[in-house]
Amino acid sequence: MVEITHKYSLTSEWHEELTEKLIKLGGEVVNRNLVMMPKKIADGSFYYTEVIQGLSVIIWDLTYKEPILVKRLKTDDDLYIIHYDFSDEMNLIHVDGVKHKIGYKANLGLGVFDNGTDNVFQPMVGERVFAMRLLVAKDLLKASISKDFVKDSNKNRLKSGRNKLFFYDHIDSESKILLHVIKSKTFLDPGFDIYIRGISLQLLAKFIDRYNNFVSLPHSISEKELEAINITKDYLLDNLFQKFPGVILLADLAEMSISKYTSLFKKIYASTPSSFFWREKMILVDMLLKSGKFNTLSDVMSEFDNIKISYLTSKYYTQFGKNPSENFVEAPW
Amino acid sequence: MKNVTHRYGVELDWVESYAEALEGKVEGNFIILPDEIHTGFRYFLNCDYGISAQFMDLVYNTDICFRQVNESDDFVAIYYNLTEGEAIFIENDVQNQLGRWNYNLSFIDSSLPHDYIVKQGSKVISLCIFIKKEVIKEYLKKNPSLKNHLDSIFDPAQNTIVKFTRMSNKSFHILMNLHSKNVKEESFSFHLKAAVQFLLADYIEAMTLDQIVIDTVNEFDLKDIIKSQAYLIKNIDYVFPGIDFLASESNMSASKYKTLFRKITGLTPNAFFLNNKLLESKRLLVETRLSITEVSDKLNFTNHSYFTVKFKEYFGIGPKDFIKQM
Repeated sequence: MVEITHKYSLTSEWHEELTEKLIKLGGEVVNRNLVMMPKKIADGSFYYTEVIQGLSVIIWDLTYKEPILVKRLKTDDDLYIIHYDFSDEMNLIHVDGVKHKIGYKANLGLGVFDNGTDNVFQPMVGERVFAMRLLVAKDLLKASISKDFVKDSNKNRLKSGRNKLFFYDHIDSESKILLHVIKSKTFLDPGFDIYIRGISLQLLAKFIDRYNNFVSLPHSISEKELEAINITKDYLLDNLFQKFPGVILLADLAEMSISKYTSLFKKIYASTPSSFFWREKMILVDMLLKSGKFNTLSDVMSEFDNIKISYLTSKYYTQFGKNPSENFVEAPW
Repeated sequence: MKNVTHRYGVELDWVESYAEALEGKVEGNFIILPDEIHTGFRYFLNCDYGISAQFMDLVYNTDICFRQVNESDDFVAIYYNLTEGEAIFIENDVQNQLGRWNYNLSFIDSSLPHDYIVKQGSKVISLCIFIKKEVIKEYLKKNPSLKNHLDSIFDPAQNTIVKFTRMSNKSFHILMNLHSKNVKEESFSFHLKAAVQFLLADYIEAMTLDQIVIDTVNEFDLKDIIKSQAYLIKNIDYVFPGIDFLASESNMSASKYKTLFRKITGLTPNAFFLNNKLLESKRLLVETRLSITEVSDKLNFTNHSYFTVKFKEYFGIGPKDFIKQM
């Protein structure tokens, strides 16, 4: 597996360093902002620009050709990293040895990290990875990510404590629309630089609005209910290798009646708990199939408990329109 | 009529003297003027190197004439002006009507002294961007393909920039989106900076796509088409009235109407209508508690699935996902 390490800083030094590294690997500099990735690692490029003092943005649109770990090392620069993932498939972010799925499909496209901790980004191979990161000086966000927020989010979002902020969440609709627009532009559009600055500022403004006021979801779902539903969702995601646990158990976890639970879940994720579970499971299957770590197809399937392979195959086919065998990448040994 | 002489600039040193000339005061980023002049707010901000802005949302309570005489000639002021009421720009005895349904976007060189008259009762939503000429030049250096377009807004005889035009529908909604934000929130300064970038990007995009062709349209035709746009916006809740009807209202043949409409707005009448409907539907979903069905009904979409499909096409996510994760 390829490994690239890099750091972030408030000014462009880190970018110059990383660019040099990539050039050595065969990358190309198109201009001050745009760097093409080394062809053997990935197709595509990434764009970096400073927006205002204390705010810069990186946006990448790549398809990796082989498994890669992008390791970000901590530095002393006081900044937060706000990561928006709008990729076609889910990517992984490792923090403190724990893997977190991030991506549009997981309904968890937004991650916030502290530059004072390391993490590792593990993108999908062979799929379009489209993500954007805001590097924000802590001063700019001081008022927004207040102590109250960290305390509050501890309950439902913060995954590792010790004052090193890290949480993830879904991307709000307005931000999604912005990302959708930017996804359809190319880095070489004449207005792109100005445009991406606008997008970055707007995303930051939206971020501040969202976490400053902590307004509850519209159309009447309370924070508490959301939290309870989130617990069950995390439970589902943690148990993808198992059988679907059943709504009785899930409703119990959320401390709600079954009908209330299912209707709330539907309201938030626009699918039933069971179809949500299956969708996520299939994404996981897909990931394992393409991981190149298994010798046979049935090795992959046997990772999943108590399930007929034919059933799994048909579910997979419904979701991806292909048989698992077509996507299977055999282990090279 | 009240008369006042003032200056603007990219550097914000004009703010204090401006407030003083109008017997007002400066508080934080706000210029607060006496209610006799206007109610509402003026918010100023230093945006970036060489760019600052003033955003206004107010109602004039008196007739007033602003005479602008700047001390420096190193910047251009870009006015996005959505005044509803009477607003007249006078330079060298030439008058131009400004406002939402007139010329609503103008570029004025800082070296040109001029008068700006607003009548009592005028409702103003306006954003002025002050931008250094060197910033524009720097930008052109990076994008040489735009050079010719910029020449078209320079007046070579005087080497100054003066242009009256109409903003795109997209720009209009960028402003409306900014207008919907709470000016008292600390995030507002970022919203404003973002809007400034978007507006500049939108204008540059329009320049490269050669969409800015207003100058070649005769004034009466322009007025008719603007009137027609106003009609469509006013009737945004209803079904599309049809080209034949719109053309006859503007006293044109259907084909002339379609061509002109497209030339001036960059969109077909139908697309203009639909885009605005969709933006209105999004606004309703954000600002009211109407359900998707209610919004679709209110705006007279043929049916709900058509609404859903068009919404998704335009914004990239469906209305259901949109409200779910607001």
